[in-house]
Amino acid sequence: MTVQSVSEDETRGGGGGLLLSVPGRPEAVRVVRAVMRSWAASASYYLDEIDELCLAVDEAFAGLIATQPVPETITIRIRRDGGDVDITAVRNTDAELWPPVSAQSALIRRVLSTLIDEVYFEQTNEGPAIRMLKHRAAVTGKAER
Amino acid sequence: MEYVGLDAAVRELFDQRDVPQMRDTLIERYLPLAESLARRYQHSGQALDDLTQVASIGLVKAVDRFDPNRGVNFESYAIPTILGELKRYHRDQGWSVRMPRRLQELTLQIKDSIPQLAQELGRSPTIREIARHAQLSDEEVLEAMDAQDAYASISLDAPMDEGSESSTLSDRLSVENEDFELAEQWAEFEPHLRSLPEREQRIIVLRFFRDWTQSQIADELGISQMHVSRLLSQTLQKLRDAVGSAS
Repeated sequence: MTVQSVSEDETRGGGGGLLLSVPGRPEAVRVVRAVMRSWAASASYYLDEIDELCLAVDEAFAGLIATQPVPETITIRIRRDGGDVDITAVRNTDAELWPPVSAQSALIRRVLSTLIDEVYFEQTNEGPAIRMLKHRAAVTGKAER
Repeated sequence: MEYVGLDAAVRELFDQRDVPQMRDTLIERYLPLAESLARRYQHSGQALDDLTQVASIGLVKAVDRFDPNRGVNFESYAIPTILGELKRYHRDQGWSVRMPRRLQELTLQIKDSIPQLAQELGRSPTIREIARHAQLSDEEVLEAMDAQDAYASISLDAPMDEGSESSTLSDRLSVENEDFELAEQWAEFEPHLRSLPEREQRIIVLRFFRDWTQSQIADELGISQMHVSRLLSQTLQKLRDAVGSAS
């Protein structure tokens, strides 16, 4: 399991980011949540935004490991893009079918479409991926950032 | 077809289990077995409702996968299948371990700070704001929140920790049929949603059908935002599992 800070260049601009690799097993989702929460806290997100991001990475992680064959590793890239957050979760093993068409994946899409502004199931060079873009809500008060 | 170790009535049900009604009859017939195995795990502090639901998922898998031609009775096949489901759930939830005292104290500190800050600020606070209010470091706040994830033994049946002590979430929640009728995009999941306990349906309806924020749900239900977040996470996992095991 590795966590790595990523420079602005490596994350294609924006405010720096983070690269996380975890085993493709259900119990690893806690590590993903913890890292997501820590990153969002350091970026001064509000608690309700942080909770939504954690739920979203839960769903994406579940979607990636639910498709056969079970992947060895899931890699997650988190980066800031202006005021927004761009999260890509990739499995290291090709999937039998991507994007998946099961009822479970349809549920995950439905949930993600509520939590996240833009969701893409992509086939990348590294493997099948779910990319999520979350725009920041308008700031309603002055936060300590 | 001649099966060894099965009585005639059960044989007939397995022969016709492709018919939903026959499959349901088989499941109902063995439900007491699943409930009995679920009770074995009650000592771990997990809610019996949740355990029974998990055991029932194991039972459904056993009914669907059982090969009557192998010459063993159904119970011999179903018991390890159901116990496997319960053990996996138990392990994944990590609920058997008590939270250390220091983490309990940190959790209590931030639990008080969050609603106070939300009221003062008119919005959800940042982690830094919570840390300053509770006189903790940012890392301690994050540590307490991670611990809540890891140790959460919250049950939807547990008495509510805020508001009336005698009421449970289920007392405060109800789902109206219109909620389902309004949510066409969720139509294919309706049977699975309806199979969840009503209180869990309600949490999903408020967040995903009515598009309420977690803070709004927390205000409506008189519980903390962190509590809502954990309830959503657990309910979504159950729903995913139910949809996955049915397909």
